[in-house]
Amino acid sequence: MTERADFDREVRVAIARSIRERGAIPTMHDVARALGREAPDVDASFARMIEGHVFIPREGSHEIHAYDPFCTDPTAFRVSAGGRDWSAICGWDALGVPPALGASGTIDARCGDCDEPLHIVVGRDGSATAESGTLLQIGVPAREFWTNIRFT
Amino acid sequence: MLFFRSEEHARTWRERTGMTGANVLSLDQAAPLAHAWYARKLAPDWRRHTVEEAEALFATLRLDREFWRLR
Repeated sequence: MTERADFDREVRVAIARSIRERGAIPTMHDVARALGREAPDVDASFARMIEGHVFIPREGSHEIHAYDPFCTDPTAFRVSAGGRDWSAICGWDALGVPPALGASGTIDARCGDCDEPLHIVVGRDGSATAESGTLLQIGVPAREFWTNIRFT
Repeated sequence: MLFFRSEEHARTWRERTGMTGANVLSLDQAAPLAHAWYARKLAPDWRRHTVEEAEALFATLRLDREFWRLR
């Protein structure tokens, strides 16, 4: 592995550690401090990860908006898992929060049509149960996901 | 990527938004997909799925081949 790839791995490990231990997606400054590295080095790593679609950045920034399946900001997709509450940017990501933590969990969201509340229970084994008929709908074909990831 | 209470609600949304090509997944498909996609995201050795790995996963879950085609 190259030096750059090694460093990017360290950065990803620091991000993951922050999520697991603090329940928070870190800023570049947080990661730089955790690794004892200069901010520009972390910024460059974040830029490489953005190009590689490792996470979704905030608009006009290299800071993390969503380290999928985890989102920094409150959203309509609320997940309880691993003893904490999380936000996800969409239904697929919401289903991904419990397995990313190695836990079971619950999702509270709303029907995309009628806005009625939906409650989904996610098992550790990759199963999910909810009111009969509950489903996930995806508007954008898979090969176009990253054309406009925020719209997707 | 939204949840819906039923196929009827999903269809109403498609008609209202004009996104008639949207793909519907049951929770029996969506949950295992998300599990396989994200279970290792926080692992030190995580890496993105290759196109081949992703397509194999989609096929295993019997997802619509055209909608889930990556190339």
